[in-house]
Amino acid sequence: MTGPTLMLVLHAHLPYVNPSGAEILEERWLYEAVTETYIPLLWSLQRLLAEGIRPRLTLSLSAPLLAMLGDSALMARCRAHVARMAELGAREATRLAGSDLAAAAEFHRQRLLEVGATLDRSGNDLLTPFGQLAQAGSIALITAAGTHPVLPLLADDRTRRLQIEVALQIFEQRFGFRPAGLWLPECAYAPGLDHLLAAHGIRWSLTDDAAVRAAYPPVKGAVLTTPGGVALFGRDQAVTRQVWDSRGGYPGDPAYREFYRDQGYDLPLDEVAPYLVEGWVRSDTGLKFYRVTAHGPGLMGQKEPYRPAEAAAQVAAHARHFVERLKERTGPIVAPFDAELFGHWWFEGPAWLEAVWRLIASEGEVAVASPDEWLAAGWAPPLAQVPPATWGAKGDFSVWVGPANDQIWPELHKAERAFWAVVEGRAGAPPDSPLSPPVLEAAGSALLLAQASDLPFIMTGQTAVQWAEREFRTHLDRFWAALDQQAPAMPTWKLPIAQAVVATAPKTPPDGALHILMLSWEFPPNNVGGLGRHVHDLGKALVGLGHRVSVLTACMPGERPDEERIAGMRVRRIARPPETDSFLAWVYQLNRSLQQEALAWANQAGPFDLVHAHDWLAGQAGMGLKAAWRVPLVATIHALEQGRNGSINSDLQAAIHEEEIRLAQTTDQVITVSEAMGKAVAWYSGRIPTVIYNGIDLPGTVVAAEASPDPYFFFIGRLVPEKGVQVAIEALSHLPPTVRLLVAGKGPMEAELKEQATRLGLAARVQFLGRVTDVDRDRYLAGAVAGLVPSLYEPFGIVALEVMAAGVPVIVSETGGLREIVTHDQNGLRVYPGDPHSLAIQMKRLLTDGALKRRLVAAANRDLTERFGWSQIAAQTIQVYKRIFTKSL
Amino acid sequence: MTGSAAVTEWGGGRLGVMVRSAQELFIYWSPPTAHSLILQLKDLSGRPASALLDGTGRRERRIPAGQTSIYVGALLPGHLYEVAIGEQREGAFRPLMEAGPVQTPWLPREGEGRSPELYHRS
Repeated sequence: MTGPTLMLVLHAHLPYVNPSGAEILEERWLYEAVTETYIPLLWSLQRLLAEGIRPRLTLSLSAPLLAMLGDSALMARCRAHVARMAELGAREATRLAGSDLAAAAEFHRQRLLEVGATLDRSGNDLLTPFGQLAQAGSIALITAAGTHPVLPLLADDRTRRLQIEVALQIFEQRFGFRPAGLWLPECAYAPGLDHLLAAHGIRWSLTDDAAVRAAYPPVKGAVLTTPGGVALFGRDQAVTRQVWDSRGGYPGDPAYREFYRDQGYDLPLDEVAPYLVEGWVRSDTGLKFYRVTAHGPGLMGQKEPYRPAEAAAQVAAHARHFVERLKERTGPIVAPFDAELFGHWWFEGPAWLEAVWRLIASEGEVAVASPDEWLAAGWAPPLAQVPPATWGAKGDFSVWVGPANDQIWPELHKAERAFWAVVEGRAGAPPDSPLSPPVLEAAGSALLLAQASDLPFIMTGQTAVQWAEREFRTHLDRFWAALDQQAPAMPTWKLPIAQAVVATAPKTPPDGALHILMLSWEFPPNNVGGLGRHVHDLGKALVGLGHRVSVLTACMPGERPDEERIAGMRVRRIARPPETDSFLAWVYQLNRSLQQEALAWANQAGPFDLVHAHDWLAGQAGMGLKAAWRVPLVATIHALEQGRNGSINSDLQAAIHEEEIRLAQTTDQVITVSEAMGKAVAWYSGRIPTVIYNGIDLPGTVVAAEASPDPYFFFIGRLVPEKGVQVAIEALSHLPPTVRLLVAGKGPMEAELKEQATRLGLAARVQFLGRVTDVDRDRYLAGAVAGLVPSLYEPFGIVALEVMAAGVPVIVSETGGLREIVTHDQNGLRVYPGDPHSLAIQMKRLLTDGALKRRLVAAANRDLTERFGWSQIAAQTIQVYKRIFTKSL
Repeated sequence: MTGSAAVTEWGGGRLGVMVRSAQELFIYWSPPTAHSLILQLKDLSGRPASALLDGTGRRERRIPAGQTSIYVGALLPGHLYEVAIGEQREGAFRPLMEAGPVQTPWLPREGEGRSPELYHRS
């Protein structure tokens, strides 16, 4: 499919209206949409199918619309309305015979009769014929989230999940399957929503093209995959505005029927009264006899008569124009619209669609596909994150959050929180909580109905504002009444809340030993930093406490995926994703692979009780698994991008920073390895972490020291600026010439450091060892005067513990976690970060003061046992896990 | 951070922050107080902040007694914001509640304000 592929998606939705007594004006929204959109669309699709043409239209039927179209009483009222309008149409055709409006009047009379006949043939059931079209492969059916809320504006992921699950259950009940795509109401998306969608089996959705164009890393084309694995199809502005632009688009052509002039307003009141609500409320009748002419205030009366034959000719011309434009394109062309735009607003829209599909079928130069089919063909859209977005006027949330409607949000959020507090039996819940099913259904249905995006949208307009305000108030009053355990006033539309709550509730916590899934991008022997070793040692210690630990990690380059047992853990290594131009895209791909492997692994290794992700590099997989399995997610944040680099200076850094905050926000508990990191994480994420230090295994045997005639200091670590090797080299220049510095490790700064040593005349005294094994490290340490950790930034500083464990004094910078590990002059020495003089002074002390050296080593040994033993750290970690389970009970 | 709204409840109080646009947040709180409050906005992006914020990426604004919501504008697209309401005591801001962070949309649509009239079903 390298040529143009049209993916047309129509979203059919109306505000939920269910009159219980006399006719209300708002129920006519449904009648008009049935008459002007749904049935004409059905006609077109059925005609095409009869000719063997399958347009592969994706039709989204929202849950409120499904409820209304499935309501036999309401549809009977609809049929009666059509009959009344047909009667008025017949009267008008007779009255206008011979006038310049005769053709239009006769056209409408005939059409209303056909609409009525269609309703009669279907028994007022339009959903069945649409289902048949789907079974015939003519269309693909999907649905939209719940009551049509702007999901990102809700306060709680549980409510978002409830809205998604409710819609899927309603759809499944009607059509017998769950769709792979879901329409996000108002195309409203925000990062993180993808994990919730994926957890409910949703593989694709749509958003505005501005969001796709703003994706990071940037993508080419109209489709991308979010980090959570949901394909997002971006609305093609260039193509779609041709249809929905009221001025420059097709619908504004003077041949087409005028939307705003209707006989319901033109006829004398006494003539039209029998066809109006309550006999006097003027409203549209659907009898519109004029065309789009005479624009401007005060010109309504000068519009010219509608001529159906001329409109039909223009439909053909516009269909040709549209198809020719499609032919100029390549790749997927995503064209989502409100379904009601076709027919109701642009009267000729369904005929135009039919003409477009017929042309496409006859010429074969443009392919048609549903997003389902396109993805099934093996296309793999690039991975990227998109910004929060909607398809509202400015692509943001301002339509739904503004002075005309902002009063609803405090009330909605309050109700949302109260609902979950009571559902979970907290916060003063009544003794018989959880709620009895009828109360739960009543409260939940009312809450979700109050969240419909239609209500704040209508409040921004000039018509039906009072209706929207009244609906909102009614739903919320019903909600609070139900929650107060009063006789629940069930909304007319009862949503499957109880089943959906069960389907989205957290898994029951285990009684005994936990099965923990650790996610880490590195694991021994693949150690880039200290993270892999931390995961290994923590996992081993957790196994020692009787828990099951499985580790999912990535292979080294060139290695093959495997699974092995290490220290009682099951360790599975997945294939390392191929390198890409974008590091972020590579990390997203790694996380997709980790998540997919974890989902498959759970089938073999048994369910996991908890996911523990290490750093943002495994964060997206952790977030996805938390949503998919409904289990807690714990994240250890070992370092922050802001700290690693001192500031955020590039788009990549900003994206990593956002991923870190996103992870901290999504987890059930953040762990940091030092108080310093804890404060940084709290500042940026607003979450209060639990601090659990890194640990170390004490050596079981005495290591033979490196034989050296001269005293030397030892550094081990990556050769990057923040590790401060350059400070150590300069400090050496202040020490006696017999003193040497041994530098173990590799890194991008190596050449620069060698040049520095040469420049300072220290080339012979600074020895670069390259990477060393743990055994060699211990050997070098055992012979050293001290180990140096002169870091400028250090979230924790595991190397300081390694030095202490080797029985050697340690000199550290007063920074980050090092400040917490080492107390000056007690278990080590501290120096000012980046200050070679300060470092040299402390190095000199250790060169000359043997008693100091012995005292520091003894104190360090005590600390290692009491504060940094892995068994203690594992026990603290288990406490964190258990606190989460206790909270979720 | 799945949404564009964040709500904190504490001791019967509530603070909510909602993203309205790339440059504007809607913030509400309850209950109303008989004395004025301080609203503090914090930019957590770690990037150069709007000129309206001080050197630490903060902005503070006095809220008159009884007021329960406010729009805060002149923000930057794609930035992370946290809000707090509190009081000024002994020369320092003392937060009562904090909510966030929320992220403003980055790269708003080109030609903002020139979009054709929006069609909507109602």
